Amino acid sequence: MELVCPAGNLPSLKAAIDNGADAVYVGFKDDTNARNFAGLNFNEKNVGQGIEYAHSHGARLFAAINTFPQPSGWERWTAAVDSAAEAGVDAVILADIGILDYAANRWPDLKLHLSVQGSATNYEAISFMHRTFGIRRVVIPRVLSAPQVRHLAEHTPVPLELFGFGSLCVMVEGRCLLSSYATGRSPNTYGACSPGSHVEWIDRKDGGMETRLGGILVDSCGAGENVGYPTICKGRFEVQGKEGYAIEEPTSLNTLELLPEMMAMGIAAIKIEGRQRSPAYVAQVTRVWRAAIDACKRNPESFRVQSVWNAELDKVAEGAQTTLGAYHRSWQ
Amino acid sequence: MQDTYKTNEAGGNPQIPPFLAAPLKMVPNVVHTQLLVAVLNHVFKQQLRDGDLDFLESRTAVIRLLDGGVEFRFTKGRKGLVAHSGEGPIDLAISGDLYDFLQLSLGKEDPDTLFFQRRIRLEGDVELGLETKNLIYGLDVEALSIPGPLRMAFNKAISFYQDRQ
Repeated sequence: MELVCPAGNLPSLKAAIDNGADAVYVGFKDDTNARNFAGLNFNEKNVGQGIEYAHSHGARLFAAINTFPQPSGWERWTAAVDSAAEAGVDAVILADIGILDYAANRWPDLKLHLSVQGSATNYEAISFMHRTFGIRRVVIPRVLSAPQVRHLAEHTPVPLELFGFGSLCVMVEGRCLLSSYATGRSPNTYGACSPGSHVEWIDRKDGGMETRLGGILVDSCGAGENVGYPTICKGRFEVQGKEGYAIEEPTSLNTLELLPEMMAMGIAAIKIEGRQRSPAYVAQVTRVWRAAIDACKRNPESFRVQSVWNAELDKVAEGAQTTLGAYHRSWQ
Repeated sequence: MQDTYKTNEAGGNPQIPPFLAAPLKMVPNVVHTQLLVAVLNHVFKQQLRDGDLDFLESRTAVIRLLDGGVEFRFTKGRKGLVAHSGEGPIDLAISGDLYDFLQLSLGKEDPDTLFFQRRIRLEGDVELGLETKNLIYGLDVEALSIPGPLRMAFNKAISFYQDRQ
């Protein structure tokens, strides 16, 4: 089982690899990836440095080109695929069918992974992508429960990558339009949910804080209350006379305790969310997951989550809680 | 499925002791800021030369040390960052206690973590804030040269707080 960690810049990439990541994933400095934030990500020069660092330490580097091009921007996406292939990345993580087709034809030796943004939630969809584009791995959307993931694992020859830790959202990956509603920009096309240019945080005199997105009030918190990212899905609203989190609470996924189950299913890789975070986060989270995966590999039967691991992860979690997410939901 | 959630506790934050905060406040803010920009201009020497800080040109940023009761107001001039003494509008305000700024400056804590816990606050142009954050954390470790004596002083300051807890 491979540990795949996020890197928004070179120091994060080194932090991931130095702390035991088997692979890192990165994006370019434009809207071709789903973490298109000011000052973040790689250019052609430092992606080469990243690949060199990864390979010299026995790790791999994947490039996420996982947004959906509009007709006017098509060349930007194909150029990103070309840059990644020419730089010598170990795989590209793609979502759009047109870009998958381009990459498969233009760079037949380039390994293709289907991004979580590609939203393949059943084995027929995965098989289609495998047959048509020869994808080597699929990142599974976080809406699936553990039995559903097992069902996928049993029916597809394509290795599965599962999210293990990181900020959760409403998880309608690749199809969510909530950010578009408030800002006109979505993660799917622009590459950022709630772009900074549309966010306002306004301190109140009583120590509380208002969060606005595109001018719309999405949350108002009291003094000392923890907050999350400024997204619509984690906002608090009045619905039928009741105020509260109507869609999703600010929360982080933490699936350490499912590790033996995932290993038994033959899951190929665990993915850590957070290319927008700093090297300190990447180092802290990678260290914990490396230790946990190694312990579970040594002896899955006696594997126990250590409380220091959870304490480390809780510290960097978004919001005030961690959850097993959909993996343990019985309603499906 | 509320029962699958595990709640975290928000931690308390060590503060500058009053006997240290009082003398800080007696010195005009612009003097503190001149010291700060001198350090920043040293740390970001290469980035200034490459134009990586140009996005701060004619924008006013302020760093507020809440427990110290001081603020650093600066902008980017032609030769580098300069202290800004005027009142005028502020484009970006980052506020927090000294302890947390020390943790951030040594890369011991993640800024989003401190934001979630309301220990670091960001007001004004959020895009400018993100760019500043990503500039700082995108610096290659070898290239980021907080001068040795300063790094030692920061570490000493952190252990001073931790000993008092």
